[in-house]
Amino acid sequence: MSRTATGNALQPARSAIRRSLIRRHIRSVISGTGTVLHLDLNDTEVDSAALLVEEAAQLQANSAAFRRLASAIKHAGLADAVIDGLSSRDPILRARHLRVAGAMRMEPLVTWIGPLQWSREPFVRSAAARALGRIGGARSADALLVAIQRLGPRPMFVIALARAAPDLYLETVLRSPQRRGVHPAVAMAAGIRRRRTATFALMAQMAGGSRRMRVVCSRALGWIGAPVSTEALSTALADRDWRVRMSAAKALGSISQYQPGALLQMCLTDRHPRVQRGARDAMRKLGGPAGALQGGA
Amino acid sequence: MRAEFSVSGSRAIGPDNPPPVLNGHKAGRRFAAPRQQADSSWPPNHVMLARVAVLEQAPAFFGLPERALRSLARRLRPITLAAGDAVVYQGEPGDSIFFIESGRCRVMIERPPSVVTVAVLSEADFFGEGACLMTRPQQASVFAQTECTLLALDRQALNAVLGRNGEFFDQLRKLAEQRFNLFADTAVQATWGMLLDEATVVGLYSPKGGSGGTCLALNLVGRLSRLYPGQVLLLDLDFPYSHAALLAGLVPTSCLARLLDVPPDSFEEVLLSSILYHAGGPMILPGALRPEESDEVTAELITRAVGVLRKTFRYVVVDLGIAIDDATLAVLDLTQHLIVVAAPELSAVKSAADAIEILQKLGTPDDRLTVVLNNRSPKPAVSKPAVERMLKRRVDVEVAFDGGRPDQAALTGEILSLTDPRSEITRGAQALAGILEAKHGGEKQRHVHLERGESAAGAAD
Repeated sequence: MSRTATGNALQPARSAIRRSLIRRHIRSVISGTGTVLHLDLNDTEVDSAALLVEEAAQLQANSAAFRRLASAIKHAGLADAVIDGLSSRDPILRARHLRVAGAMRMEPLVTWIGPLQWSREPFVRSAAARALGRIGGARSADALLVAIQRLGPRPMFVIALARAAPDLYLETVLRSPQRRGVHPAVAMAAGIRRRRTATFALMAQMAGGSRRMRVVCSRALGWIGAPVSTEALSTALADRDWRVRMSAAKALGSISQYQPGALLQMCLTDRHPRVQRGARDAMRKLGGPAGALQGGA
Repeated sequence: MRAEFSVSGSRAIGPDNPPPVLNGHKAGRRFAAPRQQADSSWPPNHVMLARVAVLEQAPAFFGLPERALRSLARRLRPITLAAGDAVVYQGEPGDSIFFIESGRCRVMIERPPSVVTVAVLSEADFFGEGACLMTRPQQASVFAQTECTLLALDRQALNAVLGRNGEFFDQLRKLAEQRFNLFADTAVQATWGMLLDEATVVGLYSPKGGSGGTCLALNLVGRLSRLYPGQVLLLDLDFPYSHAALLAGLVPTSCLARLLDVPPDSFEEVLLSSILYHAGGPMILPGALRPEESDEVTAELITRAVGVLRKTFRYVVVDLGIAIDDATLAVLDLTQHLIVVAAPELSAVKSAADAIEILQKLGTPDDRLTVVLNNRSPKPAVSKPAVERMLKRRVDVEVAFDGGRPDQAALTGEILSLTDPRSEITRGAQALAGILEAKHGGEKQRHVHLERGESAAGAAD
């Protein structure tokens, strides 16, 4: 009885020691002192996949250390284990292997990861989207776009898409006809990505898009902060919808080169309080006479 | 609705079950749905062949085995751009290599107070490799100059296909490094005179004799000297027979070739004393007085001389010879602007096209290159559009036929741009001076004002 109790009490210590050993083992491979990697990704006692992800997260994807680790994983047959894990019945194992695939940028596994975005378990869906975001490239972005089409523009997909999309990918999608709901998500991703190449595509969408699209594009243009978009945003300040006006005011506030004009000052006395607040914040950010006008508003 | 769909889906198409097109059901709007499984969609064979052809022409990629090329071709992403669209912006991160399948792209580097076009890329060229491979910010902005079709290859696809081919990556990195240095040098070369407030060195190159290069150079100097009297010099390196002084009615007594053995401490003094002064304002420095002296004008001597002259003058116009030798290359290294003169004759235009290609390969920025079409006869054999087609670029200035005026002016030692405002040569020289002023003069003035601590608005006033 007492022996069992002692055994249970020692269990956390044993796990900690094993965790430490595994971590050192992974680090030895990363540093080049070890070449062979022995890991059991299905281990229930110690989450070796989490340790691997933790160590890989600190490495640059193109670095020699990362390449050493990737090579060791390949030679140890862990890539196959990850593929097996992705089709496991246990959702926890699936999520674990998804994290490994993402951390190690296993681009050939995109085909397997894509369908996991519409798993029943939310944490598997999230892990799949994150993995695709980390892997990146056109194929990952394609898979994420399919998920947005099927499940709608969820934040995790949008963030992962912003991360995964290669150069000019989002701009091309913005210019081509898409299903409803895809364009706003892509516009949001383009804004998060903050590449100036998306400016004109967003401005075009803003000019001819729906109310929702105009709101999203305004915010995205604000995040990008290209001075060339100030004219389009100034025009949006006179939009019929208060959400568009608020969004445009906020966006103009984040473009440091913008000189506050009469339209933004008119927004300080807008009939909707949230537009007024957005304009006040913008004026404050731009260093305009917000304080003086605040009283008047 | 669902039942209808399942029934029609389960039956074979026949007389009782016509296809949707024939039974009047309208198909929904077709969307560009992205691929769910990238492996399942191979591009059509003709597309694959076209893509492989582009890769086969690209430097570093052409040596890859066909299997690798086909794998890469499969993963290329086509992008269509309109003229003027941005592909990448300087300073932003990048993760793709862009191959040009059709059209032309302009590579520009922003170096305040100027923007320099460092290259114009066309079919089978690629760019973006520096940012993609070395994860550093884009060195230059790239814009589509014409309608373009690009093929983008992202970093993940490149690693997936060629990850194990270390030799290829080394080669590509070396190429990226070379191109980085070339673009950086070109940008510096195009702007350094402006930054140091030194003279703008303008090369005038006429690849075929008899195109009127020297006449145009003389009139350009005349026109510029009306704007800046006493601050414009013509350096005549049109060897072996340099006639600029003769055309201006001046008698040279010394020349650059005779300064080869002058000690460094008195070089500047002797050089400036060799310059001839024309009554109208321009100054001329002959390169050689006798044909045999032209061999003594070395690249080193030219570099030394230009180094001195650019501190003294505002514009130094160099009339270059036909040959591209060491001396010409030395001048090309020092010029901030290059004017190529072509006559509308088949051989002259062909020579000009070849020369422009060489100059572009040597790293001459596109916006610092001006093409002049000088009509030497009333009815040119080759029309201007045909010349532009052969040169693959726009003619910036066209000088119309001026009758016997240039020959008459040579006899009397007049410079037409100083004496005859109605002359076609004068108009051409005026247009050229306008281009040079727009590109170099205004910027120089702005820079001087800024250095003096005046605002840009004040400078404009």
